[in-house]
Amino acid sequence: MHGLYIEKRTLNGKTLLSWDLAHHIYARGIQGKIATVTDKPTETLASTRKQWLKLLRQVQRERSSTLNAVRIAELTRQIAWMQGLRFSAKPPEDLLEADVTFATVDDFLVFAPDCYTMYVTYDFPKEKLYLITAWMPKGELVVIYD
Amino acid sequence: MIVQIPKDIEQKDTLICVLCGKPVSLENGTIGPTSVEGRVAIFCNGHLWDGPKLIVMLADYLAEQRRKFLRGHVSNIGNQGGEARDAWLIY
Repeated sequence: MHGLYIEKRTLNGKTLLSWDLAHHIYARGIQGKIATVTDKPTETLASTRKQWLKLLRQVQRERSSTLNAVRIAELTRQIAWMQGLRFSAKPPEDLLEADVTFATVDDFLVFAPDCYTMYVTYDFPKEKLYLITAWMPKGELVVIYD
Repeated sequence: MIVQIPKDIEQKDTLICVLCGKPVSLENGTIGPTSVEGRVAIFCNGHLWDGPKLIVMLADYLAEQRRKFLRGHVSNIGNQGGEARDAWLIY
């Protein structure tokens, strides 16, 4: 994983993986496409999208409670981006079609994702991790959950 | 916790959180979007835990980056050698 940033995140007993994913995607996701490596793609997508919608409501609340015009404009952009973000648990066949793709490592091995952020949520051999991160642009991020 | 920074990317000795402006260590940092200067933004991991504050601080940061981008873009018009900025700032 030469040329990439690597971040390790630990979940304490109170934090859900989906909550942490949603908040990290909110902070970072504007960068570009995201690949999430998970052993349960459909379930992880459902729980993350639920947290994402909760976060969207929070952003909408913040927007309606501020009088700062610059902040209102930026939050409006963010809301539009959050509402338009596409999630998919369909195994990628070629280029990533959705903005956030959930799949197993073996699905990503078929076609290494060209993404800006990759979240690794379960353990698998490091050789596979090196292979699926091979197409990531230099200077982008891999987040590994312990 | 940030465990790896690409070796060929220059990083300052002291990392500053782009949201609150305070020093942040690699152990307590998290990676955000790329800034208009092309540097990865690092901010305190603790900000992710406070939803309302994160929303406001991130919005202010992104608005500032967008303002810098637009100012740089206007000054680059007609300059054939101008650097390309990150695409996310255009939308």
